[in-house]
Amino acid sequence: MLSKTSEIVGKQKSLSFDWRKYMVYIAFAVVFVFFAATLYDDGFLTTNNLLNIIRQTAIISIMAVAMTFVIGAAQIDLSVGSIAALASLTCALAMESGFGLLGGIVAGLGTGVVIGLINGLLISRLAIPSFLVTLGTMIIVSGAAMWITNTAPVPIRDTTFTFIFGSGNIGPVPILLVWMLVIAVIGHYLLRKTGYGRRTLATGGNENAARFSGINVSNIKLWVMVGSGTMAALAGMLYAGRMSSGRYTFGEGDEMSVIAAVILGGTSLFGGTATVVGTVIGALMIGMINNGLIIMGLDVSQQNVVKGLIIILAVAFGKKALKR
Amino acid sequence: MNSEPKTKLGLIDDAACVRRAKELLAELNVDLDPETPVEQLGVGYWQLTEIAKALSYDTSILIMDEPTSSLTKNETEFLFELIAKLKQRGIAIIYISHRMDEIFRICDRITVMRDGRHSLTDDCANLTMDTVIEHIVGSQVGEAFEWVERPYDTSGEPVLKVDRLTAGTKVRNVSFEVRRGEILGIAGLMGSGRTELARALFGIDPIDSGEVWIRGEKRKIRNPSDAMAAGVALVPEDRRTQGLVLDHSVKDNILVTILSKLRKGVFVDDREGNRRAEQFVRKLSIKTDNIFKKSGLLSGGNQQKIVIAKWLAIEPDILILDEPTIGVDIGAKTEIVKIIREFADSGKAVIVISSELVELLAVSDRLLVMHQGEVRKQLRRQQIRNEEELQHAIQNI
Repeated sequence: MLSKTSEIVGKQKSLSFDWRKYMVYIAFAVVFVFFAATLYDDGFLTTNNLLNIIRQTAIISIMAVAMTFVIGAAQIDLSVGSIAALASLTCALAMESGFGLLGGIVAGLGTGVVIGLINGLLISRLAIPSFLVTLGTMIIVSGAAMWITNTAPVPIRDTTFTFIFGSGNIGPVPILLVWMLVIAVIGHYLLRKTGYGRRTLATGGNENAARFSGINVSNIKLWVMVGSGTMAALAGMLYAGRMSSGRYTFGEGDEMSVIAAVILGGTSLFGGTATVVGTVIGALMIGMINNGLIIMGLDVSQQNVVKGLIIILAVAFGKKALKR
Repeated sequence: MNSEPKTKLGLIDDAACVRRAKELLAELNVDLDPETPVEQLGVGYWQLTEIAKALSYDTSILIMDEPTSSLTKNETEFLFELIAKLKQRGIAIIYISHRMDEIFRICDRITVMRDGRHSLTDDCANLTMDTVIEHIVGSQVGEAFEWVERPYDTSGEPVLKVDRLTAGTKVRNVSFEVRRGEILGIAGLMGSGRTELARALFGIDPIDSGEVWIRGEKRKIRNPSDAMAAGVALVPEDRRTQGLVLDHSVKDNILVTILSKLRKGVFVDDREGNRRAEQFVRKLSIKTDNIFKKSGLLSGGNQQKIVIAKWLAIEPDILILDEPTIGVDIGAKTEIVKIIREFADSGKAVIVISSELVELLAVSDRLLVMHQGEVRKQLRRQQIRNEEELQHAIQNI
């Protein structure tokens, strides 16, 4: 009797469409068609505008790919926005002080690696919840970013740097798109196809069972935080390259857009299931909504209200469909 | 908690709370400051606090589920005095326990339940320990649970030799050996240190002293990967929280232990992985639509087989199973017993921990009886005629 019922339940579940998994693609298509139809005359569908969306989204996407691992491991990283700001400054300062292009890259990425390591060590070795650790480092790092130059921006004159990191184009293709694709492809294969990716998801799905399976869950937590810090630093350098300067305001509030993109993409907030492709689509969707609302002529305050509503609607619909 | 006295404003009246707590604790004759955080008290006091909490609702029936499992002897005595007092006040008490001597000491009537069914209710005065055990055991035991004498290699080096192992407070000075092809059963009451012994051998809990020898080699086990490298596998007692990632597929759960061996360049070799997962699903007859189904959707027995599969996958020399058939239907139980026997027959060593004596007697070639973290008896299977004798051996320590 019991086995019979469970069989039927099993059948229903496997037959029904996995809504949460594909929610983001459906929502993306709906929003895209909506804007394409209503804003066609305003030039939403022009190549130029579509490339603009990608330029505006690429940096968030890169952070979101790393955040997919963090949330997949049932952790969170609130410090990404502030790391981006500090990395843009350390990178610019290193180049200003004559350490050259390579020095700038090392200083920028190094900032992210070090802060990621500190986050990861506090979370894995002292067992402090990641929410608290990264809330703390977020405040410290954003304070440090303001302090380091007394809130003054630092110019970047190296044109090779600005070309590679953000403002260049290869033919018609913005280099930001190249960065985004490279990071997304690496992230996708790392998550789906390597032992590290599988262990990360096992840790997020059931940390205890992962430990009982011989997985070093402390190291998993450490590495996802290092990855997130490093990608946040890369994001900061891309901001710097685009704007030819390092500024403490870069990345402000990005952590929320990044987390929204990951969750919208179908990654479980409680860890265990994650998708890099979904994350990138989620980030593109947020960028597309931003862009569409601007073209519609909404001001920033109205944009925020609508954006928030769409995010809640998409996630709620995905959940509801899943329950049914 | 949840029954705090309220002030006129609807807020919790703290002063009245402390007063009421003092009254309750005084009634129980417990000398405690109500404002001490529970954390700082001993485990025994937790139980008493729990009882005080239960009494704060003007209780007329109090149900206690294994209340003494974590208490020391003195604390147990104290609890019994308390129970006598509550009885006098006219409170009815339902006392659930494994421990026969306690039941006979404090209870007026006994009800025995078996497999979710009522089997006996009578006054204590009319019953002996033997009759109660008979009812607990029942008479019908399937053929699969018939013990078969299996030959195993008694010569040569033992596969596992544990020498005066101490870990925490629950495992004290434990020594034993397991040989090639042998199935060692570990019996004992809940809290006797069986699970903790398994955890220590698998590197979950730290080993404080003592030595572990595997195939004649002394091994240091500091974490589960050390244990796995030494050829030890553990099917843990709770498959839902320790054994499986319920949201993940059957395949992912089976392969999680061998990801580093399933490599093709930097990637996991999924084709080979699928092949192995399919192989285990067939070999252990795991009932699932396919290997990509969420393991949480399968029945308890099939979930347990997945856990066993993931450990057979590392081809261990020593397989430890902690309560392998808990919450598993009778059909799957028989199959799990068969899997355990086959694995041992292939020349490997097996340790089975179980509270189900029928099953323990069916598979074990030798038995350890544990009590308060120590090995109290080592019995060859031939020395035990039936379940009652084992039950007596466990109870009369």
